[in-house]
Amino acid sequence: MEDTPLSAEEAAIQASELIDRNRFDHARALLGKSFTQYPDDIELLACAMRLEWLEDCLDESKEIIGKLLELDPQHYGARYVLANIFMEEEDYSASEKELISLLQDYPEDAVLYAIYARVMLLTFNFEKAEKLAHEALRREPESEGALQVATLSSFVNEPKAATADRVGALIERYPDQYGTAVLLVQTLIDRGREREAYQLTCELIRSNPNDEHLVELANALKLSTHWSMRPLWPMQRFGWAGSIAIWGVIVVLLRGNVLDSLNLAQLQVPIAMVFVVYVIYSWVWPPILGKILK
Amino acid sequence: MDDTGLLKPSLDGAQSQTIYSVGALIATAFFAGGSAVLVMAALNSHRLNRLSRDIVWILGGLLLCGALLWVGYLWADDARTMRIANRALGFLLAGGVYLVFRPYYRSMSVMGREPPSPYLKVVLALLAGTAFNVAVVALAVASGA
Repeated sequence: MEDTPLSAEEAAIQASELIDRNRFDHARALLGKSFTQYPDDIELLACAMRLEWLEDCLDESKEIIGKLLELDPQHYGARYVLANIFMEEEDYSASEKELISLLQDYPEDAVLYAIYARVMLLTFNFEKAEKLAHEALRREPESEGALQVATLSSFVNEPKAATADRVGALIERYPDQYGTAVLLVQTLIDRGREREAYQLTCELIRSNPNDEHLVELANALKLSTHWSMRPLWPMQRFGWAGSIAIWGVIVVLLRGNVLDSLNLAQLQVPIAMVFVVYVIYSWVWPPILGKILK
Repeated sequence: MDDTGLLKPSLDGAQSQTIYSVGALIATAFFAGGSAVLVMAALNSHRLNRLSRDIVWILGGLLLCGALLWVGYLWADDARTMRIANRALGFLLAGGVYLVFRPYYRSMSVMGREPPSPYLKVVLALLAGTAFNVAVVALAVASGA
């Protein structure tokens, strides 16, 4: 029995649902069949554009966008995806132009303000990013995109308490969203709670196993929370300030009169040797452990 | 209608680029002291298109480094003490430079942007910083201090 041929509209709806459920291969097969009958259907082209974008085939997506904009120069979806692709390709100036053009046509769209705020954060325009995030929240206070970008802006600009409030608001409203969880991981890392960050990252990987960024983050956290890395805690917690503080303590001990005044001058050489071993260990062990744990 | 001016393009001119890592600052501080750190600061400032704004404190910092090196040459017991003091000054300045560029480092971290490869620029900063240090000490010697 042959399948009843679908209309363009039905095919577009089915393809869209398949894409929403991440069934990209099925969506691609359906679109391939449908394009033989309806090569210039706008809704089908929009589905194909979105599929290519989600699969990181940016050049293919841009080609379809070109075709879409020829058929409908004001197509919101095509312009929206184009702005995002420019951002992913780090062509921030082009992304900004596209977003401004969209915002002039859709001035109440909170999502567009949120994306524009991201572009501003990526290009270090912090004040403008904060204002755009505020505009996004003003238009849609419950919007996940607006809350996320406001939280990201807080990470850059504000003290930790304010950031924690925004992360808390995201967790309350969108507890199951990937973006919320990633921001929570960032907050935990910021506060030196790396074990919890590692556990949360492992949970995220279970639902997003192909996310390379998450896998890299999990590997880095697994490394930093390993028991053999405990002696490096000052550097892990305080970064370079911790390293410099240790160096300062050693210099004072070895060059100052501290040991002499405590009648412990005989400890100078052992302390120097321990410090050299510690430095070598801090340089050599983490890369070795990283290879072992991978 | 945009009354807030937010819909005016901000990225028409030269775009800011990511800056060299904190590790690069520390490495220059360790090997060549404060003057090398300030060279890295100038490079970072240039990448952020704000060199005209930062040049005053960078040059002021270089003058301070020069003055402290001169005084250090006069007062230090030996070359090792001077090296340690120069390194300590470098670390202090690296901390100060980090605080100036902190929002940019935070943004790079949360937005997942990598710093550029620092090796060539670190070598240049070390050479420039060392040349500066040697020049200051040579001047101190020549002035009969």
